[in-house]
Amino acid sequence: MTDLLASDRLFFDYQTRSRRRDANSDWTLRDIAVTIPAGSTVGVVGESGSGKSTLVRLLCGLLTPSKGEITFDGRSVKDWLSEDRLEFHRRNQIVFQSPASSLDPRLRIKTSLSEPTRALERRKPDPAELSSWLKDVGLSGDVLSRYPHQLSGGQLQRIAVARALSVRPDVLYADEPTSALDVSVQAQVLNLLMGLKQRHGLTLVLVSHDLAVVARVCEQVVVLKDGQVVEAGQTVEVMTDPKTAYTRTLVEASRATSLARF
Amino acid sequence: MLEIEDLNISIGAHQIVSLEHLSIPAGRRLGLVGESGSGKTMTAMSIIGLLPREAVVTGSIKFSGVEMVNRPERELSNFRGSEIGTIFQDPLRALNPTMRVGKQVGEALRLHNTVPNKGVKQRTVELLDQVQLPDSAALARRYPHQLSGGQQQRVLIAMAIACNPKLLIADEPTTALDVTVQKEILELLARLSAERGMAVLFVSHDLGVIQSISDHVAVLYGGSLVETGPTDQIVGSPRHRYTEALINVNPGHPEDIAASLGKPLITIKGSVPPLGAFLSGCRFRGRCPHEVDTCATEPPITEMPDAHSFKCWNPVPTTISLAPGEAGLAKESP
Repeated sequence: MTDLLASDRLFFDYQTRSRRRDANSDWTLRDIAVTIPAGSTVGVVGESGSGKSTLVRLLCGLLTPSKGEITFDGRSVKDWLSEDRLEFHRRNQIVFQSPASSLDPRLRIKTSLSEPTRALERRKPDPAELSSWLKDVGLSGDVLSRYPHQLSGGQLQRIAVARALSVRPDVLYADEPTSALDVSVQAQVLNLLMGLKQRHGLTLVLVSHDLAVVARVCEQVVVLKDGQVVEAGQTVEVMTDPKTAYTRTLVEASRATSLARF
Repeated sequence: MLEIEDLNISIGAHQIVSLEHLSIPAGRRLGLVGESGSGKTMTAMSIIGLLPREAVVTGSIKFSGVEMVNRPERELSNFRGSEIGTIFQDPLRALNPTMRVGKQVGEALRLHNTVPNKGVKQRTVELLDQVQLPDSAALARRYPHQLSGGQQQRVLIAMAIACNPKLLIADEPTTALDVTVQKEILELLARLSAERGMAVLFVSHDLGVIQSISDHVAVLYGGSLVETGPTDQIVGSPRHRYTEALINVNPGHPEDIAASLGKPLITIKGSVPPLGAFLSGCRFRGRCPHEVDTCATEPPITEMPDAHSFKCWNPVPTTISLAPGEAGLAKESP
C-alpha cells in the first residue's frame, strides 16, 4: 500500500508564532510523524486535550501547521491549498461529533446535502443524486424536505456521512462520530462506516476516545498524549502488547470500564 | 432502605415512567441502565423530587420508611444533600463558578448543621482528602474552573458525601470524563460506598461502567423496568430480549482483537421511539427480533431466584435446562 497521507516533524499551536514566548514549550502538537496508507482504517486515540481533533483538522486542511509538512497523494498540502484548494477539499472530507450542530438548523436536509457539490464542484445536484446518496447511508428520500430538528441523532449522523461522501472523497475523517449517540445507534453508525469504506474504497481516519470502538473498527492506531505520538502501529499489537506505560494505562482503564461478557 | 412501588410519572398525556417495583437495600450499589429516553434520570430524580413542574407522580417511593412522593418541597429539601446525596454528569455546571470550591463543600455542612460552624473548615479539608484530592487545603481555595474535570467531579462527590448520606444518586457521573479518570472516579465511589455502607443508585447508558460499579442492575426501556437482578446474572445470562440486545450491541473490550476487527457489530433494529410513540404491551415491540403474538399485551413479571426478575413473553432460554413444557412462556417459580 502506498502512503496517501504523511506528515513529518509537524508542529502546531493555536497562537500565532509572533505571540509565542518560548519556542520549545506548549505546542498543541509537537513533532508529529504519521503515515496513512491508501485504503487503511486508522484510529486516533488519546484523552481530552491530547490533540487528536487538532491533528485531524490539520490533515484535512482546516488548520495550517505552524512548522513541518503534510503531504497528500505525493504533493504538499500547502501546495494543494494554494493551487487546487477545491480538489483537495473534495478528496478530504470530515464528519464531526455532534450531527445536530454540524447541520444548519434553518436549512432543509436537501439544501445541506447539496452544499459540498455546489461549493466544490460548482454545480447543483439533481434530485436522483440526492436520493441515491441517502440510500447509500440507509435513509429514504423522505427526509430531503425535513429540517434537522425533525430527525433523530442517528439519522442526522447518517446525513452528515452522506454529505461528506457526496463529493466522492478519498479520505473520510470522522471526529468522534458516535460519542453523542446511544449505544444501539453507535453500532449502526460504525457498521455503516465500515460498509461504506469497503464499498467506496475509502481511507478512514477515526478519532475516538473509546478504545473498544477503535479495536473493532481500525487496523492501525495512533496514540496521542499531550500533543505527541506516544505509540503507533497495528491495533492488534498496540492493544495486546503496548510498548509504552501510557498506552498500557489507557488499555487497562478501557478494559476495566468496558463490558466484559461471560 | 429505598422502596419504589407502582411509580408512575407522566407529563401531559405522556407516561414517562411506569415502574412496578424497585428497591435498594442499605449499602447496595444499583445500576440503572437504559438508552436516552428510557426514563432513567426521571426515575432517579423522582426520589428527591427534582422533576419538571408539569410532571405528575403517583405511587410510592419510601426512603427509610418515609414517603417521598408528593411531599412538600420544604421537607424534601431536608433530605436532599443530607440523607440523599447527588452527583451529576457535568460537574462544572453543578458547581458555582464564582465561589471557591472549599466554601461550596462547607455550604453543604452549614446548611444541614452537621458540624459546628468552627469545625466546618477542618471538616471540608477532611472531605477533600477522602475524595483523594491532592494538597486539599490549597485546593479548597481554588475556583471550579481552575480544576480539571476529574478534580471537579471529586469536589462534587465531597459535597455529596459531606452529611454522610445513606443514599448517593449518581447520574452519569463519569460520562464527560476520560477513560483513565473514569476508572479512578468509579473506584473512588465503590470505596466510599463500601467504607460508609452508603447505597448508590448509579445511572448510566453504559453497561460496561454499570458492570464495574454495581452489584445489581435494573434495565429500563421506554419507562418500563424490563429486567432486574444481580449484575453477573444480568450480563451473564440475561432473560429479557432488550437486555440481551443491549449487551450484544456493546462493542465491549474485545479479547481477540484480530478476530473481531472489521466485523460488523450486532445492532438493534431502528432506534428508541420518541416520547408517546411506544407501542402498547411490551415496549420493545417493533424492534425485538424475537417478537411473538402475545407481545401486544403487557408481559407479566417473572420472578427467578436471587431477586432476578424480568418482563418478557419470549425470554432468552436459560442455560439450565427446564422440564418439558416449562420452557418458553412458562412462568418460573422463585
